[in-house]
Amino acid sequence: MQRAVRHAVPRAVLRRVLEALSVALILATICFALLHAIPGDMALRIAVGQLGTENMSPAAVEQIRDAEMLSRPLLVQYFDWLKAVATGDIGRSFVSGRPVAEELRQAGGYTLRLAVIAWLLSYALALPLGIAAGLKPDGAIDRATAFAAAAFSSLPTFLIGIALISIFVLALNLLPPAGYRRPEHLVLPAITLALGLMAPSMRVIRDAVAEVQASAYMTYAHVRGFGKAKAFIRHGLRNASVPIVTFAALQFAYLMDGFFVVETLFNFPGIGNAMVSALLARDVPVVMGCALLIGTTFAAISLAADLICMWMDPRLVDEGHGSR
Amino acid sequence: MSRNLWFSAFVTAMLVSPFSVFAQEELRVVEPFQLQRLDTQTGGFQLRANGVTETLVQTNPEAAVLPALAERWETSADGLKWTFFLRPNVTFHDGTAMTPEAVAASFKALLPTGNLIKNAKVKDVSAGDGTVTFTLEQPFAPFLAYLLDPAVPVLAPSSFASSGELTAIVATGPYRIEKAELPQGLDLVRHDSYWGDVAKIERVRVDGIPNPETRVNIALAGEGDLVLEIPTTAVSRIDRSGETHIVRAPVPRVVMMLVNVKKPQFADVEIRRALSFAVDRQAIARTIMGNEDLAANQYFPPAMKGWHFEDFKPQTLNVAEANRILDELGWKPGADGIREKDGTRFAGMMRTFPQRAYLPVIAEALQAQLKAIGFDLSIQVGESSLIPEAQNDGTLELGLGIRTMIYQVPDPVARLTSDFATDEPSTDATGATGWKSEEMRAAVAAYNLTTDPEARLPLQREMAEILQNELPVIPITFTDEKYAVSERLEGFVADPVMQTRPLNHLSFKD
Repeated sequence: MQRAVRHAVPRAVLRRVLEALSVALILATICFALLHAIPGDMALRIAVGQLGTENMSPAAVEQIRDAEMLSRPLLVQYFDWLKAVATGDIGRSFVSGRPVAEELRQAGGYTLRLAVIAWLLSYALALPLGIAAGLKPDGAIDRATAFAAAAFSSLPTFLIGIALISIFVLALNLLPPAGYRRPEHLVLPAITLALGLMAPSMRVIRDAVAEVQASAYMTYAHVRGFGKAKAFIRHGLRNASVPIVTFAALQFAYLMDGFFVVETLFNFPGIGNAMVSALLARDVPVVMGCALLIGTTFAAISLAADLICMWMDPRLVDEGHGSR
Repeated sequence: MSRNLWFSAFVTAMLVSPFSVFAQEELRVVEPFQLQRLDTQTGGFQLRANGVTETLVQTNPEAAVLPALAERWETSADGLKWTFFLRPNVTFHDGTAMTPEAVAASFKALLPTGNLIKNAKVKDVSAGDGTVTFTLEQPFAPFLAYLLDPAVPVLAPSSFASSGELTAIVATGPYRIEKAELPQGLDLVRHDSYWGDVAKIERVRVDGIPNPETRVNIALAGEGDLVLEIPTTAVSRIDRSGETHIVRAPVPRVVMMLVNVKKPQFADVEIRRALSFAVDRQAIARTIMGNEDLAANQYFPPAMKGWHFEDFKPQTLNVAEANRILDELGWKPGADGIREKDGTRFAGMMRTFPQRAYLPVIAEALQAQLKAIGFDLSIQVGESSLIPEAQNDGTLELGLGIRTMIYQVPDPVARLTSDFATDEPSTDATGATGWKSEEMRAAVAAYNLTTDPEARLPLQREMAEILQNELPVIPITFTDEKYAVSERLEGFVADPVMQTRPLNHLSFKD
């Protein structure tokens, strides 16, 4: 078994690294194609992003067209970008003129902070509620959490955000409505994301716990004389964790979607905000840089989830979980 | 266990702390613009408005040009040389003295980046004994106003690298930049050796927040001391909040219908007049802009003395007259009530953009109003660049845009030139489409050569009259600027010409 794990882990890492590279490149290529498929003069749109709607001039537009070499054929632009990426240079923002890597480092730092807090907060709520619901299926807690999960799942993120602003900012005057400079600026964006994340994970946790509770080995543990709690902690928790960890990794996709909305709503300068602004301003290098970052992050999180699952359930190694 | 405790404490602290007690003793300005680059070409207006940069002259609320870094000036008899006598004892933010050489070098470096000042065709800038002299290629009467192009302030030599590239903003204004977090905002600190009124508030934070609802929330929560561009719909909520109140100031900005006069349904000026008669400007100004007096019956607002004329025949609602004109021109109503002539439907698509929240709403009001004369108006809301793109490729039918007439340069002729007297492609949603007037171009050229303000008046009237009679654009409403001002702040006076917000005059109440 140990030997199998030793072989499976490098294979999983290699697979995920290759996946990360291909996903990131495919994502960036799609973004490049879509950005250029949108009708309109790219130089003019970049000028709007740089100078504002009332401050442009034909000379400024032409200056941008020349400086960014936008008259090159699209394929040439794309392959020039690929060549630069191969050397580790992901370009400069058309709008701000700063290196994209620097912009991503700054925005990524803000987003990471927000993501970690939101994710922890969501599981701080979802884990106890989901476990309690799963331990007593169809009980009062299960019904109440099912209702809450349905409600929060069906509410769009921006609506949750607006509701929280209405309560905590406008009615109670407890928290700031927007910003990023003080710790309290993280509270409402984090709660908005956490509530959206919490709803589905609560049900996944509940189902995993309920399934484990109904399993033969739990019945055997009870027969052996273990109490409910002891049986669950010794035998149930680890088994129930595998689907939960896998789902938690998948939730990154939801989180990314949430960043776009939440960061715009709360004027939080993270990756979502950067990408929305870059899309509106046709800032191709920043959009493609964001796509690279999102793609690689998603693959890295999937790898971490794979490794955790293999560590928790070594049978997955035998099943080739890490080498598929 | 201890980890759980830490986490619980963190979450609880996040939820229950009375954060408002941490309000900092800094002036918090919230504006809709995000500064993308720390240079004068892209951020010149914000840098000047927030008291960082200055130039040789400044404006007062009547848009008159007054001395600033120059105490006085004189012009050569041929109008080609403008000599400015520099104010003594002015220091840059880095503590160095403002010398004629430094001023001349700054202009030489920045003039090529100016957007509007290029029309002045500056040939040379030279330093003298306490003076700086500009030599122009040809006489240019409004040169003083064009000097206020915010892309060309006076910067210290330390702003430039040895290659001449602009690397920092070291200027002369009442505030200096302490830290720039682009595009989110700027931290400013008082310039203690400022030549004018030294700022009362030591620190300023300027945040760029494009979303109007977020700005409203900031105002309602008392998180901003001076919040710009508040939407009309939020005015009463903010006034009731107790944290801030609204200060309204008329600004020289018109909301107008852009008309492609090359399209057959708009080619005849009488058709454009009929469209104008069908617009209920009072209703739009009252219900959407919150002030009936903002109805725009001519291109220039009443506050612009010498450009607005009470004796012009106003463009007011007269649906019967509009229908009479269209009937006379042979536009007959079809089965669906929409007029047609020679197979051309009396219809058009209006492009507009949501950055000014009132524009899509006004477009919908126009859609309903124009139906009364058998015009089928469809609406496309997109990015602001939609309009100039469509102007340039000839596909624009109608647009709804805005023009701030003395934006950046306090002389309307700067924008009249780029909007109504040029063959250059359109780059903003402001000017004429397919319309060309030799009379307008001649009037602009004559104005640029006329130094005597009295002699300019007939030319100003001629330009305003051409716009009123030919309707290359159809004015709908003027706008006012709505500032949310914190109750703890005093000394704020809105600048109706929108050149600066004199932050150095503001203070906190005791």
